[in-house]
Amino acid sequence: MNELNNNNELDELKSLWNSQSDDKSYNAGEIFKMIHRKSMNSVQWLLIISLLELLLGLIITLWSNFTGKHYYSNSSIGLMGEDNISKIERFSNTGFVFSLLLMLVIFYFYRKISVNSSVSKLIQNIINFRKAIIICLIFIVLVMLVFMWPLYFEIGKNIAIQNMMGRAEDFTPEKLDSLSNSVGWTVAIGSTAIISIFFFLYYYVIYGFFLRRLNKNLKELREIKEN
Amino acid sequence: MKTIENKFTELVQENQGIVHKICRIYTDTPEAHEDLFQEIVLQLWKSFDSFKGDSKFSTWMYRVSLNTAITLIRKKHRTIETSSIDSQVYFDIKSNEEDEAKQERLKLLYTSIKMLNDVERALVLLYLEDLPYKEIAATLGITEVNARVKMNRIKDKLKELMNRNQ
Repeated sequence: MNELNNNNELDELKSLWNSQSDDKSYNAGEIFKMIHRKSMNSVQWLLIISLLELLLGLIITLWSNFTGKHYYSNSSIGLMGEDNISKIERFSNTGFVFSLLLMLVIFYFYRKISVNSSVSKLIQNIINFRKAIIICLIFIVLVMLVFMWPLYFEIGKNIAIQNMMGRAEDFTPEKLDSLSNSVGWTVAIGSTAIISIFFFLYYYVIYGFFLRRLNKNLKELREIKEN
Repeated sequence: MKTIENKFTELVQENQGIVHKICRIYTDTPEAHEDLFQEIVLQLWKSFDSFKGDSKFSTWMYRVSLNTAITLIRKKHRTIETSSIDSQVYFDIKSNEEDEAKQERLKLLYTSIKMLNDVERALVLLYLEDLPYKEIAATLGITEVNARVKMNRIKDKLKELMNRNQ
């Protein structure tokens, strides 16, 4: 009797369970977006990072322009020369434009990827996005090196000349020239190496992390497409 | 010609009720419900190639969705806030019929189910969905006999919880 009672109750629960209506309902577009969420997330993070980079550049530039202060200490300015400092600052301002360019490229692809499209279009967009980011980053680092190289050479030379000024009697003009040139080259090569390593590490760690993740998603998408 | 993602999207859309019920028994807030729903859809999509079409889509969907929900609930540092044993029912459950008593009873059923552990919840859900024991066993990776024994125990537990929560 108890068993019968139990079965009736359970039948009642089953009918109750099946009488639920689906309040929440996602349409096809919303479901489609969900399956591409991971790629969207990586692109979204890259967009946020580039935006932060841009903001930081903007804050430093505005601070320097409004307060009239340099990024460098007075002793560094003395060693590097007022002219070189202004050139570096002007170049830093140009760097701000590059960050803006990078952000615009990411934003363009972010918009493209967020639009519902087929897997093949999404794959193509991700490939293009990766290519564009890598080209942008290489371009930024190369431009920086090409522009900064002569500056660092001059800075090296200035430092050497300043150091030798107190001992003028020990140097002939030729020796002074060759010595300051050697220091200039050493500083330029050293700085280039440091900048290259710094940017390589920065972009490799931060951008590389998301680009690798995107690549993983790309492989998954390709597998899905092939099946 | 339908692309794979169109076919998948259509199948999920038709059967989304299953995923919503799973989300309801494993989460506490509408946000967590949505997060879990998205995670389940993503996992379904990732393993869609393993769906050979031998079984019904819904059967395969139960397995992948429950595995995803249980894995998430067991994750130590989980990103989706899944429900704990003593959690409350957050949502407005609506019965098809405009019967207040029925709605209250449905709410009571959910509250009681949420007081069971993760595997017990899965078993009850499959049972209430009227799946045969053979399918319940295959979905949960246990034997049919084991599924029957466990379910009998859970039925008593559920009845007791419902009486206590009333």
